[in-house]
Amino acid sequence: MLDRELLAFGQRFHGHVCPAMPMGLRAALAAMAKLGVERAPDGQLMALLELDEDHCATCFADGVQVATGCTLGKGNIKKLHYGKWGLTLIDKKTKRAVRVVPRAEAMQRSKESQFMQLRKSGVPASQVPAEVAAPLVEMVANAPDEALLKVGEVFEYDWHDAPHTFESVVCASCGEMTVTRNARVTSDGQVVCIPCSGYGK
Amino acid sequence: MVEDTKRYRPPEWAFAFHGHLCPFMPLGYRMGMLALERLGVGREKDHTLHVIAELGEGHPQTCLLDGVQAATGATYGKVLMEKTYWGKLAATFWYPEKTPLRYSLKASFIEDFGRLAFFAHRQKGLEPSQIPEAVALEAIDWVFEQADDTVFEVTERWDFVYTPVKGSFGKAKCSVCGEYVFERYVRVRDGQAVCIPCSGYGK
Repeated sequence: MLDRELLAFGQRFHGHVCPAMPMGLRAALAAMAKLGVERAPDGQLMALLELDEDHCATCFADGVQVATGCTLGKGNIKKLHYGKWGLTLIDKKTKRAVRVVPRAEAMQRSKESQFMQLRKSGVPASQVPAEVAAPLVEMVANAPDEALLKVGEVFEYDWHDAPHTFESVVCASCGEMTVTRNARVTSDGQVVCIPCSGYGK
Repeated sequence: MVEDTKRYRPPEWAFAFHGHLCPFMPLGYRMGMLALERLGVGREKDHTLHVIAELGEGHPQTCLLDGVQAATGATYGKVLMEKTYWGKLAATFWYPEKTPLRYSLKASFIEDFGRLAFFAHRQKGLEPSQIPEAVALEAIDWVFEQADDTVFEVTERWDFVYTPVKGSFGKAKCSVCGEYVFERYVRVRDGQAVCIPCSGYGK
């Protein structure tokens, strides 16, 4: 059963009512419970999402952000681009991880819904009538974990963060602050940002 | 006039470059020669002709690209050969001011070709240099009995936009290891010019 306050918070952050965001909340909460961890205030947890881009139900990612504290801004959430809804949550301190994935049968129910027909015909989620979206959200919110998710066994994962840098310089061309690691050098020795360098990357 | 299907059989040096006897290097050679002929350009000496090949890795028949390099002069070393990693037996030949041409091997050709003994040997796990010469030559001979349009589908790619990377001679010395680095790859660390490995940035 999904906590109503968390669901409301998630919907407020996410911006519209849909079933995939709550599915993300459920998957994230199940992963956190299995690992025995709290929401990460900093970068204590790392979330690896099997989502790709430009496909249905990527809203799942916002549920994961809200529940776990693994956010775009903190840099502790990453997409693996498999086009799947698996979530691997890593507890960096104890070097343990778990993979949780929504059951295909549970996702199938959303897939066959009127919500999905409307979405496929181009109706934005925020314009789907509440009475169409609500039953799907309720189904995801109320179903027991076993009906909704496959929760894997905890395994060892020695996650290493990429080196973090505080170094920055001012681009000699546009005058904007640039992370030193991303600065480039022009033919005449000027330290500039990537766009100003013309190198493209 | 009857088409001479054997006119673009590779010279000996192309086989020596490639390193083993197989039918795909010759197919690529033929593709490259046909592309040059249709574009109306000679073998590339410098850096003008670009080839954007749709082959990838982890699949066979990439030998095609050694044939394309040998025929066209659009080589890996001149940075004129790039791959899209789509796993397809096709390549687009791009030359400034000309309509890009895409050459692909027809599915019907690939199917007929696949019935030759050479491929049975390959599927059993033999490397080309382990396959009897006569079997390889049978496959190569068969390729050069087929008409150009039995083998290749050619498409004019009016829609294909390609911007070659602009080159530069500029370089700097890495303040850590003292080796030269070409300018687009120079990085800055503690206010000093460094190479990527010495920077620790990884890229």
